[in-house]
Amino acid sequence: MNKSKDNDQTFVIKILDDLRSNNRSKPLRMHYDTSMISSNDSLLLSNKRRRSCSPDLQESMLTPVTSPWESRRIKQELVNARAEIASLQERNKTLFNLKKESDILFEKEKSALEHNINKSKLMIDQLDNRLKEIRYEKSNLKEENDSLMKKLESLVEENKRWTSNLEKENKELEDKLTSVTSELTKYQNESVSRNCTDYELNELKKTLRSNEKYIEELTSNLRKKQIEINTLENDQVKMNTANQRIKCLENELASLQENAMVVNAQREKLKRFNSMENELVSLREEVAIYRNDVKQTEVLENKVATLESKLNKHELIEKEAMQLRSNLAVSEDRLKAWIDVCREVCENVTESQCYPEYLRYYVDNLKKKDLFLVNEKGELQTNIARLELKLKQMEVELLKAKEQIVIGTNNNNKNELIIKRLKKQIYIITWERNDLRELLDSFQKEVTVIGNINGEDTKMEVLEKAINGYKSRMNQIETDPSMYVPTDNNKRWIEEKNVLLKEKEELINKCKQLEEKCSDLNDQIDHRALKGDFNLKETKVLHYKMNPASEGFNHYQNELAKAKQEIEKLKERIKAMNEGISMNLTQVVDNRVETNASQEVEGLKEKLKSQEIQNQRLREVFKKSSQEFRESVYTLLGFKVDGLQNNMYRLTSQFAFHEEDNLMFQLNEGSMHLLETPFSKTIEEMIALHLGQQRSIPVLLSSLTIDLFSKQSMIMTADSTRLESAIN
Amino acid sequence: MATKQQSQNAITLKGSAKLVMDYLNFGINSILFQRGIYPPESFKTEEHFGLSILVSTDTKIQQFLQPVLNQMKDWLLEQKIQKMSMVISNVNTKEVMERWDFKLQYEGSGDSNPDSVGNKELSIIQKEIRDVLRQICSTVSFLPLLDCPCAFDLQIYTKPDVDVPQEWSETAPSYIANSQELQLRSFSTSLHRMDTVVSYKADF
Repeated sequence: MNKSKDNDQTFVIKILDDLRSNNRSKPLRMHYDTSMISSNDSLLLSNKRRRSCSPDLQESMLTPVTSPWESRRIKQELVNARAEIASLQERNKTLFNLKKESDILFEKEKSALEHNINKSKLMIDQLDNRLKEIRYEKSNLKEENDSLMKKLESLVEENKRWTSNLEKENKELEDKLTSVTSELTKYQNESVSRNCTDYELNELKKTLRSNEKYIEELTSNLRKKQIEINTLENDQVKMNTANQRIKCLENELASLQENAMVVNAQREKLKRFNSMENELVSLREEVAIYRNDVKQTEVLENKVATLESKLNKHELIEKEAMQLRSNLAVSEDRLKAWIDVCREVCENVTESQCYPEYLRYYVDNLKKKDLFLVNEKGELQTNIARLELKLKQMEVELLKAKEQIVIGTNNNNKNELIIKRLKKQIYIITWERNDLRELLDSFQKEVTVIGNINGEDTKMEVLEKAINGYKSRMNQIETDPSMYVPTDNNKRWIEEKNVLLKEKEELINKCKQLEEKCSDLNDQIDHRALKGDFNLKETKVLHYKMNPASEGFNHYQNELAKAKQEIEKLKERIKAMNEGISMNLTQVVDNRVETNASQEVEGLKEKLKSQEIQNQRLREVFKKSSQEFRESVYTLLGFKVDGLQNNMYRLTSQFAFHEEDNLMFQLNEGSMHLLETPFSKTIEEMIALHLGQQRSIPVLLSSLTIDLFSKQSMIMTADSTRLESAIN
Repeated sequence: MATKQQSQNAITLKGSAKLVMDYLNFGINSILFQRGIYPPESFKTEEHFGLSILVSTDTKIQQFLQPVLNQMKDWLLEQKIQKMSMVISNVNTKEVMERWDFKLQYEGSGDSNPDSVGNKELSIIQKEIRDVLRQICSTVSFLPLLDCPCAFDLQIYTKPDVDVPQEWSETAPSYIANSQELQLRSFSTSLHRMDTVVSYKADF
């Protein structure tokens, strides 16, 4: 029994464990189990009781019989005991039956539980499998998701780039379009006067059309891309739904595993729910109160801020007031000082006359006097300067006179020396004369005495010798400068002669040098002429256009170009062959060469660039000229003319009081129409007069200008009069 | 009698011009042959001035030379020409390899009167021309070899007041860097004097 009981208990525990793991119908079974435990306990108790009975019986059997009463009593007791035994046995039987029944029940219960266990095990297995499947699916989906996400991201990025590029291009093109359209409108206005611009306009239109086509293409591309993006977004949404499904399944699983626990917890929480609700209500009320508080505090803070700003302003005003007061005090002091000064300066003045005008008058008088004095001073200074100049001149003259005196004394000295020499010469000459006279006398004597020819010869010889001696002496005198008496004329002549001689020598040298140069240059010219040099000014170099050399050059150039083309073709052919193209090789090569005609493309690009530059320059020039035109119109006519869209023109007068005071005109089929503006409503009379009756816009504009000008000048004069009155 | 004698022996201006042009024609032809600018098969021998001269049979050359020389003759009679250069240049690089200068000087009265008459005998003039042509032929011995495809051009140095026909155009003068020159003999018809100079690239 005990063993079976033990077995039963472990079995029950097992079942309990299983049920715990299963977490289903737990409370029911728990109830059942407790009943089972209680029945077993009752069985245990009955068995114990039986055991406790059996030792009593054995004791009564063993005791010896002493008396009949006693034996009777004993017999009675025995009968009782036997009856008790019989009842006990019956009870035992019933208990046994009960036990059997309970055993059967237990077995039944057990089998049912085992069945349940198997069922639940199967369920668990199924769930495990499902879990595995779901996990596997989940991982697959995750991978797919990742890959799709990557693809999607890349696609989205690409699309973004594309779209951004397209948008940029679109914007640029739109800008271009707008600029071109604006230019076009401008050009159209000027087209009558400018035929050349017309031509450019056509070109611009063409470019515009091409641009528009391009824009359309781009927009269609954009649409396609957007459609692609939409499909991708749909894919993404699908992906998201799949992810969500996976998450749902996971969540279901988690909920399956945790549901029981949650239910328990929920029950406990449910018990607390009422109290919590109460708490919640109270807390909500608190929150509402706090919110109110916060709002109030904000309002108060705002008020505080405004008050602080006001306070700051007031403080500033107070400071200013203080400063003004101090300034006032200072200026009053100054005024007093000025009045004092006035009184001091102008002695005959009462306090009531102490006006700045009087002071000014006084000061002006003083200034005039000062000016007069300054003029006098200047005159005196000029006199002084003149006198000083005279003094200087006199000094210079004095110096010159002194120099002349010195020169005169020098001349005197020289003259004295000359006189001395002349005296010497006179002395010598007189001596010679005397000598010659003596000689003549002697000759006469000799002639008279001798009177023959031989004697005459000797005399002649002597005389000749004397003459020679005189000649030599003359030479001596001529060569000896000390003996020579220089005269001014002679000196000059000799000096001039020397100078001329020198000049002559120099000129001869120069002439020689030039001759050498000339010959050198002639040689060089000859050499150069040999080398093929010629006078560029006096020659024209002509040749026949169709000469063999130029033909040869052209031929060579053509051949070179051909060879280059062939090389390119062959290169392409080699490339193609390397790439493994064997079909239609020449055709492929030709196509490639044509597409690779980069020279043409470059040429066209350059042309395009130059065209663009030209366009830009034209635009700049146009802008500048239009700006100038507008400015000149503004200064000449007094109206700022703004050209708006739809042939609208906005005119703003130079004398307008506000910028919004403007007139709008619309050009419609060659005639201008005034549009209504807030400003035009204010001048309805004028419009009725000039437009309604006179039908002339210029008259309206000019009368408007005059009106505005007079109004503004009125205001100006009013201001000025007010100012003047204030001053007075 | 004396005037007749003179007229028989003398040469007119037109005749002088024709002689000069003949000289240029044969000079150019023999240079083309001697310098190997055109294949020797395209030349044939002709007898001129008592010399057998090789003249090109290439129609292109003839078509080029004839109008040029005719035009030159006109200019020569108007005394507009200073000199004529035959430029031989490399076709590939346009580099000038050789230049033959035929310099003209006008002798005689100095005005372009068509009736002016020279006083030199034709035979003497022809002898002088022959000598120069011979000298041209002998220059091959020292002129450097032209080892590249070459072409030639005729540049005429005229006075600036000349009328330029449609087929003609102005061009830049050709110079040879590092040139060496050789003056050949000159001849004179007593109305025109012709100096011939060849410049060539000096080998260093």
